[in-house]
Amino acid sequence: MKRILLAEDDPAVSYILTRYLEAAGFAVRAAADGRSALAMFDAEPADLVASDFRMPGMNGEELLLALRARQPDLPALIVSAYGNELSVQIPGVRILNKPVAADELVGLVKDLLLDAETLALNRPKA
Amino acid sequence: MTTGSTKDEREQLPHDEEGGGQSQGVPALGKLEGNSYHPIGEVAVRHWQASQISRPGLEDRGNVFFAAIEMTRMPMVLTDPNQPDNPIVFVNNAFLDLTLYREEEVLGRNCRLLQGEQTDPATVAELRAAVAEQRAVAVDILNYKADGRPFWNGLFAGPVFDQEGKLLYWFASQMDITRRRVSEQSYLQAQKMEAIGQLTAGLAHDFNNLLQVVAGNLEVATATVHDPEATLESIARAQLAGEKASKLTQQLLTFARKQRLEPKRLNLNSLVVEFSDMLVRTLGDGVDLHLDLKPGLPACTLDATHMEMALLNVLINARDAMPDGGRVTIATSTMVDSERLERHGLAPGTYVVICVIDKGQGMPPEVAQRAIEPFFTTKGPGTGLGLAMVHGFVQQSHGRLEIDSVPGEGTTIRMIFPLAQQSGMEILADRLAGKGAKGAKWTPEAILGRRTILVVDDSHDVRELAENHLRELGYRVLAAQSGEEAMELIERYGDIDLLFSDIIMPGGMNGVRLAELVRARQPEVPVILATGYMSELPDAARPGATYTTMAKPYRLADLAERVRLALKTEARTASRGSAHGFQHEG
Repeated sequence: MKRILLAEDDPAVSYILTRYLEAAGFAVRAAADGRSALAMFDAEPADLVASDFRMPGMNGEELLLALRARQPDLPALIVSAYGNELSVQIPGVRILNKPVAADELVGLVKDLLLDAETLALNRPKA
Repeated sequence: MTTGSTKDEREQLPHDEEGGGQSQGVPALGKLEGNSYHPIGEVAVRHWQASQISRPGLEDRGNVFFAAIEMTRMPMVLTDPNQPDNPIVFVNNAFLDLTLYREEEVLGRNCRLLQGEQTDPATVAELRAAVAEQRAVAVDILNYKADGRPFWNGLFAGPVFDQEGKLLYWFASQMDITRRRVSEQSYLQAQKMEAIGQLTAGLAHDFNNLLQVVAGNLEVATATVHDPEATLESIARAQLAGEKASKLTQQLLTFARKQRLEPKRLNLNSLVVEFSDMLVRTLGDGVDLHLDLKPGLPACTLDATHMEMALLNVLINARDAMPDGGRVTIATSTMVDSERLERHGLAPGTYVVICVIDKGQGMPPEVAQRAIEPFFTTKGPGTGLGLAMVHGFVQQSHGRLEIDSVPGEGTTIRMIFPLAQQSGMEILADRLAGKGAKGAKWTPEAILGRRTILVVDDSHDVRELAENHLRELGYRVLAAQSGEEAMELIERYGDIDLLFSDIIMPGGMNGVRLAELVRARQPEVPVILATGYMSELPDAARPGATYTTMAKPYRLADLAERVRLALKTEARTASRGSAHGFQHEG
């Protein structure tokens, strides 16, 4: 079962995104801010990170940069309520606008995971 | 409007003498500056607010001063209060240019010919009061030209006496300030648009989150339709988010639509707390808002919308001064330092201060000095109206704006406001706290008169109806719109003599619960509960036998009777334990 780390400060949104992902068969751990997401990741890695953008203390972009420093090829996406105004310049990070439908989110997550698997399979062996 | 010095005050003031005593006058000394705007540019100090002349009469028209009056473009009028109805006896040509009347149309008539349909009767009354007291007066009044077009008149009028002090004439000067009034309105509008622009970005964010919750839960509900319990839970979650969203639009609309500006008693702490959602949204992610509110802050008399906008403006400046983020503090306190007050030209006493402190870039002195100048801005897209509006508002509220700024360290903006007049509730609070002087000799009638009733109803109109009626009957009335607010009042003002509450109220506390809480503090206090839905109450919320209930709709006479009976019972109960108890058997 693929492990997804979710960072989202609004509990109601966090609940619904978790439901979406769990219903699709993922194991979800939810953090309420960037720092606790980092701590969770350090305790146990994840296969993909989905993060809100605006959160107290550390925004989604900062969180993803910190995670990519730990694991450069980590699949990651941002779910933002800022709509198209947001521009995040991290390679490979996809942005979804809230409100996001279940199949849209799950579809993207599966897509990113498949891409990552593809990359892993084809990575030249050291 | 402002009025000049009284006769007694004028006697104490220095007099300017002209022409070796041919005339003398009392300088205005800035007393007639009612508005934040000064009609003649700067504070009017030297022009006379009242004068004494040695040669009365209107015939002397051969000197340069008469020519000056006819050459000036400032409209002027003389009236003769010794004739019936104080008629106009002289107008200069500029007056005719302004009003478009012909001279023969105005001579012999009272100045009220300039008034019309939309002229504010309160302003007219203020004007008349000043005239009756023979004091100078300055008002902005809506007048009408001969062709019916309205204009805002910045009117000044002052009395002219003979050497014995007998009133001879009223002198008045007019000024068309329509453009100023209109542009003030458009400043306000521009400001509001700017503030709304700032808010919209944040609101869109919050809305998208709420939409996520609504849409998401509905989607989950669809998927779990085989499990009614899960479906219901999802729907409840969606509903909750829907309610939050409508509250959000309400906030925005209230802010956007608020037009009528009127000063009211308010507590700046509550204003800050109630408005803090908006403030946080405006500050955005990078900046943390910290509140440092002095408990028990006295009330001020301010226009709430203006105050909110002023706060928003100062806060936007603070935010812009900290591009890398940081902390902004809103603090409230009181100021009594008489030296500092004097520097601001404020009378000694206690003032309320609200300040916004940032640790941003700060301003060099040359910028700080110009900060309140309209259209002065250091920001790219700024209008330069923010602090100018804040300054205007603070001045109009009889307060002062203080700017402390150190480059590289940050800026503190202080708004200093006078206290509101003491309200009935505060007088009551003082009395309950034993501060009243005549507490010892209360007669039974006085005790009866001082009975305090707490009226609680979420409907503003119903509450006001009961409140006014009970007050007319001589009771002291505290009023609250929710159980929470009622408890707060009791915390602040102490024991009450009777609780009259609606049962069904929004929020966590219904009337029955409120009654329980009040009884926990005051076990004997009579309680009257009103409801239109007695049969629909869940058992747990049914009032017990110890509360009197009243069916809605009720008649005020019935309410008065219930209150009287309840208080009588309570008085009898209370008198059992006391030899000097109250034994009224009305």
